[in-house]
Amino acid sequence: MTAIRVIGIGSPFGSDRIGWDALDRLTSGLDTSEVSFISLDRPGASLLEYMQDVKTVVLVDAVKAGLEPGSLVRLKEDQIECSNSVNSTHGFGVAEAIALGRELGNLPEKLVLFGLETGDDPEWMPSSRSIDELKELITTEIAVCLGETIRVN
Amino acid sequence: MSKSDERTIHVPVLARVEGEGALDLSIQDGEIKDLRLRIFEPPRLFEKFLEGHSYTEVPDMVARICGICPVAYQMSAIQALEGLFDVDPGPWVRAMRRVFYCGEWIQSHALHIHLLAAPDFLGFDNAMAMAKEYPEEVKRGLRLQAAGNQLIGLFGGRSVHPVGARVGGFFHAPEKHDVKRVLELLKSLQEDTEALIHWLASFNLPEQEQDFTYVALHHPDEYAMNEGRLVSSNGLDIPVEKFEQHFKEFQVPHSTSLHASLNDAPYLVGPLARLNLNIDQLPENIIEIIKSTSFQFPSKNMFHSIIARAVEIYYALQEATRTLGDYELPECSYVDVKPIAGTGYGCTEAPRGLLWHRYDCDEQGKVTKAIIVPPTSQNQGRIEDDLRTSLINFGLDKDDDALRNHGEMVIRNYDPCISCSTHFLRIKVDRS
Repeated sequence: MTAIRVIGIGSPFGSDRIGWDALDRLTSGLDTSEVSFISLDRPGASLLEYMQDVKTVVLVDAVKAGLEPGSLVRLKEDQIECSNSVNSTHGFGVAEAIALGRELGNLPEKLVLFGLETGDDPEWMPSSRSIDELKELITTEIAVCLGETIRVN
Repeated sequence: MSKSDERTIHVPVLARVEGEGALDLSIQDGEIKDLRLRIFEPPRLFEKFLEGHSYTEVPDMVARICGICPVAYQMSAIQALEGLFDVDPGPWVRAMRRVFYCGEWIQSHALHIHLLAAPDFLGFDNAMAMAKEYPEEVKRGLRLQAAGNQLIGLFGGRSVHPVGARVGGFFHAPEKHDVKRVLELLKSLQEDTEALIHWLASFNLPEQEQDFTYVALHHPDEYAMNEGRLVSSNGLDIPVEKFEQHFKEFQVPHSTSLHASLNDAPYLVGPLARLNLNIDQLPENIIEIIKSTSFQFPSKNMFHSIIARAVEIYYALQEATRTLGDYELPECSYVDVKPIAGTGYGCTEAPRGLLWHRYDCDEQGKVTKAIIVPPTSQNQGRIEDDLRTSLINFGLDKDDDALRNHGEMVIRNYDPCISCSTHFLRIKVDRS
């Protein structure tokens, strides 16, 4: 069992794929066997399945938080709230899955979400630099979790 | 309500990727003056996207139409194309496709029951609120959903938008040790599934019979899932190729989604229609469990759909377990395909009901025309009829919030793929 699982969440549509792109860069440059990586396409409630049997989960996703597009955010588990009730199997997103896992006591010991603000323009895409910054943040998080310095190629 | 009393209720909705819609309800003199389930979702144009693409690309393309039922889209498309190309993939592929489809029924039904329907019937705003009081039941639902995903992933490579299916069979056959792992999981869930049916049977579901026609596939030898003839409660019995001669798709001004009719009337597709028409083909032990509840099928109470979904979970689990029990690796997991020009038709039972496809291809197997009739468009007219009946029975003198909540519950009961559009956050009421 790996100590940390990094989950990139997204879809093939525009900037919603940021989580996948960040993971691609991480997996090609990170040298550790204690971290597993997985990219998921809008997993809905199934996200809970992928957070089992691991102590720390790092989620990477595109977010809309009203910030300047390209802004990076780091949210702890208790900062991730679902603001609306859910009435659709299709509308069950990351926040709802986490809220459900919280109620069921099914969340990992440590859960962190890194998000990159995409804004409302569907055509907007992040710069390569933004993705690199996101990668650095996640790498630092992983290093802190492992209590060691990890080598990034 | 006095003569001058008139209420117009607009229920605007959040725009989401899967659909945008609203419910408009006008009440005058204690009667419904107008009711429209407005779908203003922009057309997704998948049928046009498919034109010019090779038949080999179709299964992966149509899987993208829905994140909840991609297997259904793949299976209807593949059936149509194999029919056109006169391909017989053989018994191994046929059996494994059925297992693949079982996975989708299990995961989709488990999600709908636990995240949508059960909170409605138990009086919770949502699944998170219900999970506080029913944690073990929700965990059971998630276990079932996960098992369905495992089955899909076994053949599809992944559970969301799977990529393992192809015209002619599957790209790869699952290894025996992987099948064994999933098989053990399925066996471990038999008790969960029985408990689910008994739990739902304890619900105080609204008593409300309605008069409607229902349509499903029927197969002479099995509970229809992946193939069969189109039959209805009114005696229709036709091959899927004749769909267009009996069913009519048409545009209505208030919806960008086509409606459908059979003999110029709305009809129902989905789990309740299937169970009503094919219950005799369920295994004896499942029929006994149904008999042990207070529910009887055929049923014309739409709220019995939740029971039908649970019964189908049990059946799909049992069917997949039985089929995988003597799993053997095939020599090859697909047969070669040689395209020819012509027209092919396919129809399978998506979790939400009939999913009909038609493809015209040229001699290279490139799609020249595609028609896809999903279950949600077929159910739209039925949903509007249901809303009229249900809201009148509920009481039109109820306040707007109560009417809105009941209307949402009625719509959600069909698990429409536009169900995102039934996520009503605001209500605008005009009174005159």
